[in-house]
Amino acid sequence: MNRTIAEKDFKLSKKAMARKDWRKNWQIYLLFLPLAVYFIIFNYIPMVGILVAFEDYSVTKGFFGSPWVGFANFRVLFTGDEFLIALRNTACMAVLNLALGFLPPIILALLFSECHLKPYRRFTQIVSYMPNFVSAVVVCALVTEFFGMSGAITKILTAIGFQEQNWLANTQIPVFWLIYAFIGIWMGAGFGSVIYTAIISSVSGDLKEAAALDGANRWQRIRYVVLPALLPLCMMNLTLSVGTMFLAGWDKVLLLYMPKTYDVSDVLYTYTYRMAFGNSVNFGLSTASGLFQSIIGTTLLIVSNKINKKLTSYGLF
Amino acid sequence: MKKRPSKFVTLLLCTVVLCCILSACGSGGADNDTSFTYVLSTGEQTHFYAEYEDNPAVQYWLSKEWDADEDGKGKKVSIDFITLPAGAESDNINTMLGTGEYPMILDVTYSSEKPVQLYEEGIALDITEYVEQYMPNYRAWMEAHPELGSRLTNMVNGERRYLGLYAVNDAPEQAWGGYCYRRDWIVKYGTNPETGAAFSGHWDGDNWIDDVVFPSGNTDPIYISDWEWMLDIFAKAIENLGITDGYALSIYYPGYLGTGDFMSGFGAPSSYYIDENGVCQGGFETENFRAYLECMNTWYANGWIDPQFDERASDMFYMVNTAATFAGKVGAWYGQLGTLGNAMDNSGGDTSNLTNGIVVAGAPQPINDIYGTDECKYQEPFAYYANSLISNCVVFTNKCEGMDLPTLFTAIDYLYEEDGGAMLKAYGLSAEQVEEFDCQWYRDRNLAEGTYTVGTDENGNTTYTVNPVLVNDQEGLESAAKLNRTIGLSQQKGRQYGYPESKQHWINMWMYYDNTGSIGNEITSQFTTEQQEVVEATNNYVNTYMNRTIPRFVNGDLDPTNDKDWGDYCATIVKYKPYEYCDFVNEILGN
Repeated sequence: MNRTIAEKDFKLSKKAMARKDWRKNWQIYLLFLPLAVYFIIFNYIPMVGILVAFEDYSVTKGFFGSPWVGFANFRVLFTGDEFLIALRNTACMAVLNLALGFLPPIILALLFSECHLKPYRRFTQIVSYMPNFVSAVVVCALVTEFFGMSGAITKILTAIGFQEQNWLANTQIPVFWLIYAFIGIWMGAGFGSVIYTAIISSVSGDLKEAAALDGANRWQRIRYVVLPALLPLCMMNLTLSVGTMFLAGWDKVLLLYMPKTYDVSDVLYTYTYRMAFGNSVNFGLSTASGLFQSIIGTTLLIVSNKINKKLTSYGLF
Repeated sequence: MKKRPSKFVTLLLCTVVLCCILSACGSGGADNDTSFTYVLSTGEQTHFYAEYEDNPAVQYWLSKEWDADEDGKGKKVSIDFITLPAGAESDNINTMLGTGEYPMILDVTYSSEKPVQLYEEGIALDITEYVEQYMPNYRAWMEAHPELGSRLTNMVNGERRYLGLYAVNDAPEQAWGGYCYRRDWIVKYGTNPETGAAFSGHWDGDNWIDDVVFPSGNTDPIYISDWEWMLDIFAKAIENLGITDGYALSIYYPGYLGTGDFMSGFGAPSSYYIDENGVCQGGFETENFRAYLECMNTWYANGWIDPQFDERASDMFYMVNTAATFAGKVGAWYGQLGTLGNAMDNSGGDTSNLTNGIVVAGAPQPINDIYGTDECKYQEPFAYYANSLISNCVVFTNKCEGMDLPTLFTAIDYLYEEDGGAMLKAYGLSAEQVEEFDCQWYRDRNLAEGTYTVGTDENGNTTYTVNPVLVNDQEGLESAAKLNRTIGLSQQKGRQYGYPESKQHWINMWMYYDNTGSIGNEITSQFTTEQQEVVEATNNYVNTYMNRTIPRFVNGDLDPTNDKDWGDYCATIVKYKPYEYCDFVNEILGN
């Protein structure tokens, strides 16, 4: 009884606080309104489209007029001969991308922060950011050239003892996966370092100075002052990267793969693309695949957040 | 005093707005309304004109009056053309259909929904009544081609009905591409297979003359044995010239062309085709296809085929490794009309340039005389990539309801009239029409003499020689000057381009055999929704599997003569049930 009264009082006080807050900050809430409307219109209402995954969708019949087929689209997706291969490639490439691609931006940011020659630092920063602004099509064209039979990287690899070949056509695991991870690092490391650089620059100089006075060398200052400051951001980025690792950047696979290398390069995205858009458009199948990948992504996001929270006490939510 | 005129103006403006809204609401059309909208799947280069209705041939057609009910009162038809943006045709059509904002006449070339499906959904109209009453020329073409005529109708509730109109030709259009080979290398590096004497060849003006003879005794490569002799010469030429990144033959990355081509000279293409009895078949696991693969496997092992052919997946079948081909490092390839003769010579007289003195000739699909069983040999090719007699289809949507359709169909029927609209579609305006229509657009482009001149050949047949201005143009003027994108009959018989004799001969080689085996869109567009779904799913699996497996038969990873390799391949193909497609097609063909 007492507990119920206390809960009621708490609820009342919460309501009163909310009213008070509204009266005091209504302009701020009003400012938030367009953003809320934007998200509702462009992010939440389109979720009705998930229905398509359970329908034999026809553009003329629309979301609510197309025949309901239940899980038929998922059955087609999961029973395809190449589904398991695509799933394996997606998972392996995603893990490899994360494993190889997570640290370079941090290392680069640390290097930038420790470089005291300003013009050189600025130049290298700009050079490292630039690949991020090159379109995937151009990047893939460059990769095709560099890794082709007479490409520059092929020549280097041949010089150090590898067989001369078109590396993109190599069907050995993990050649294609490594090339793909390399592209991700080349494109994203520089730009990814921006946020870490910003955090490092916000670390108090007094702390570093105090550490130096206490006899800490440069490496120890990084280890005991800078890295602890970066840890929360690293954990947040890691959580987000794990959540989106199944979804991001597969357009490059589409541009680089070929039937010869399907066994090692086909991912869920490209597999679905062929299944849904190979001969003509199958909206149901593509939406089912998208939904499947979103569910995996969300699950990974929640799990990785929990693990992060448990291990480092930093979490997104 | 000041307020009165203001109120009056406001009232007036409101009335104007109301009238505009009401008139727009009424634009659904009255039965005497002859204003239509027509979505074209492809347009012309915008530097010729921004809107398709500015095409002089369209203007000429639409300037005419049509008396559908023969009451002596003619009416003009007005059509507002909408051209789909290149590369986003399908998306645009889906958006139109999804939002209900589709036109009255819709070209379904890029539509994911075909005429039957659009009819089932209540979008496409059944136009049988209008075709039968107002389109005698269209029906005349169907009667003249009884083997194809039935393909222009759809089965609806057990009856054949007209759900769309098709663009048709009276004869196959001239090929734009086919197999090309370096005739100059044969002259330079080959010898007469019978006498062992060296060959000679030279240009006589624009005409190439040589004394090349193939092992079969023909002056063109007709048999696979001719090709093997030729490819061997190319290999020697490449070796002599010190080319390290060249090869004798370029093939498409899956190792085959789904339309047939090389394979049909082995008796059956790998995919679907119509046999001599008019029955749809699938060649996936036939001994004919196996013989083809045995041939390719041998050629690859001989070092004749591009060693990286299966890595060129981003190339189109008629533009495989253009860098090497145009640099003069390839002996034979699938090429285009513009490369025949010496057009690829970019040496500027530099003898060290590999394109110096190049002579590109056209070859027919070869006949197998070496590989496989007797059933696979000496089969005349019958299925290859070529323009069909039937091309794009339009449907008339429910937006046409209540419009003056008799007048529209009468106007469209004119486009099927031989020596009438068929000439507009095939060529454009004649000199008389340019004069009559006072066409400045034509005059500005040196076409005052019209797009063609009429003559007679040695057999007394009428010929239509295309204006050289159009033949020499590389910008698409020929297409822009005629009614190329609409439906209608394109009159091809008697067409002459005035090419040099050798070039015309090589083009004729590309069309040496009748293409009777290809399955055109006019058939596949008749699939019902359920059939379409089955076909799509099957084709996805079959194509993916074949694109992965066939190159391995060519490059030696798998051996087509090995029963286990071949058996495994056949077992997998059969698992995908590819022959349901044949059942559907045979049902449409009435087999």
